[in-house]
Amino acid sequence: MTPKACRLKDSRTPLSCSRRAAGLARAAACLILFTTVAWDAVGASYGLRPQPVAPGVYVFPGSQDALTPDNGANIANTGFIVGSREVLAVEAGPTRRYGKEMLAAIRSVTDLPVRYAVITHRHPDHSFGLGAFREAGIDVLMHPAEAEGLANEGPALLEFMTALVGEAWTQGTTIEAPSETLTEDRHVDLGDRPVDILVLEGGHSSGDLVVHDRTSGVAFFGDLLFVGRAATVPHADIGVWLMHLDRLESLPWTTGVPGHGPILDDPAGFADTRDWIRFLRSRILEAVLTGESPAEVLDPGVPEPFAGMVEAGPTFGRAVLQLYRRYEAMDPAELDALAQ
Amino acid sequence: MRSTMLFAVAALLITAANARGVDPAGSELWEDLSGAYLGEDAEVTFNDSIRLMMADRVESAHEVPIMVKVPHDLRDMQELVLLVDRNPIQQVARITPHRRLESVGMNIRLEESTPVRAAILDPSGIWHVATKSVLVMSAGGCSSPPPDGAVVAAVGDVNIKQFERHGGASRLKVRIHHPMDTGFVVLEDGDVVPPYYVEKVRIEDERGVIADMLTWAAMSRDPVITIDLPTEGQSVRVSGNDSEGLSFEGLENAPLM
Repeated sequence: MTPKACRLKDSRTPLSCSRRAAGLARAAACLILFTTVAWDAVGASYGLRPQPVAPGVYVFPGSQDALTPDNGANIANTGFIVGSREVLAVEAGPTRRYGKEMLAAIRSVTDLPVRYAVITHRHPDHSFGLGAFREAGIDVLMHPAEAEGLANEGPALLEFMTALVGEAWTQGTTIEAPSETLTEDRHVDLGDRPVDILVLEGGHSSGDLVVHDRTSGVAFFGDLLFVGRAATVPHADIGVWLMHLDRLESLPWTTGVPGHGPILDDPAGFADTRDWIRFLRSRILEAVLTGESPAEVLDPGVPEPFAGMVEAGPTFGRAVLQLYRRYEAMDPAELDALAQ
Repeated sequence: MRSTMLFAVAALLITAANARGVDPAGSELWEDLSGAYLGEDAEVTFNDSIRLMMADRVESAHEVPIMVKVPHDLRDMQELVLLVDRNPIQQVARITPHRRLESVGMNIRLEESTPVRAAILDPSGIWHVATKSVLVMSAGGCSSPPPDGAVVAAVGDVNIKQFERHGGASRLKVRIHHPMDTGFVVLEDGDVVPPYYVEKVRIEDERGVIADMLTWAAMSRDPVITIDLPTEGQSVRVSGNDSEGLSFEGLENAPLM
């Protein structure tokens, strides 16, 4: 699926490399580079192709899959909006390599400068590529609490991600800070293209950013919205998240790009996130109130109708432990409020 | 005719294998493990009717909740032992019940992918063993510092909660605040965090001792111990000591939630 030239520890590597090369000299250069450390030049490739979703708006759809060595952690949707003067990118992808390829792919559509990159939240699949944007001198925007979380949790998560997808993808990736943080909605103009950056705090993460292009009606919802995939809840307040979903549903959008999953043209897909996080909250709250062990909650597996969602099993496993711990630490009054 | 004979031979072989206790997890460590903790001459049988509940894929290896459901015919057990093949601390806990227990749960550390065992000693001296193989995605539950690095507030504080179950039965949930240091964590400056863990726990009520436990640092930090009793415990008391000789105690008089 993903073109992979010259991957490490692959005996076919020199062959596929020379096949791709134009001539013998280039093949030789490729082999020499391969034996040194020039991964950036010849390593794995994400094969990013901008998919137009509206005039001047493009999406790079992520794979609806777990983090695997095949997809290099490219599981989130990213994209960009082109104005008459400049470009705004949404997300930085999971690795520096992705960020660089994303910038190159944007370049294949427009010569206008990329002015902004909006990172919707801290999670690795959205944020770890931001070094590529910083080094290109682009304004990288994030919520400050998410920037802090990225700095604190990033190194351990990068190690974990590398173990899952392989160093061929993550090599060169470093945990970097955004150039600017925002806690209030911001309006930017890309040149005849007014774009709103909305701040939605304390729902899915401490501060999720949503990008709404008024001209086309395209909205990038980040991980406030998962479609066909089990939403993850490591930093979530589900009650607030549900309120945010109501607000997002009522925005004047015509094309909705979720953080994960297919692009929406109506809000029916919101049910995937709403029903799942409601279920998680009520099931785990019930367990805490009745003294059930997380082991007992996990034992029967993911119930219907959620079992068929992408990554339902692993996400359920994580969510039960995360929410159980949080709810267990609450006092009875807080639990009562949660149960309402 | 020939196929019938083959079948009979195969059945005999399977029976023979079970009598010797062939490890369903196929772990090369099982023989030594069972010899060390269940006894060199122990009679061991693998028993599917014991339910060992835990996730089969683990990302948070410092704290893995497990629950052992004891089948009816083993509720007069003499001892319950929890073992982890591939841990640097293989023995998690030994529980001696003084009353019939329906289930026992706790949160444990897993160093790497491993079989986990719940071994129950019946009154006739036979060990019944449940096995679950667990894939650990993020290794180091015993040897790496806890991911959130939080400091345990008051070592030895005990919280006791009792939950009503069907038909007057009850669940006791005990949390002991303790770092449960394994002695295998090396800090960035090269210092080793010395082992420091809860060694003994006694759970009792007005009617006497419910269970005695010996525990090791393969239990998680701030361990949570859950036991299911056929009847409600009255004025439950939990006491014990740790490896530095600190004694602790907790009382529960609160009404049922």
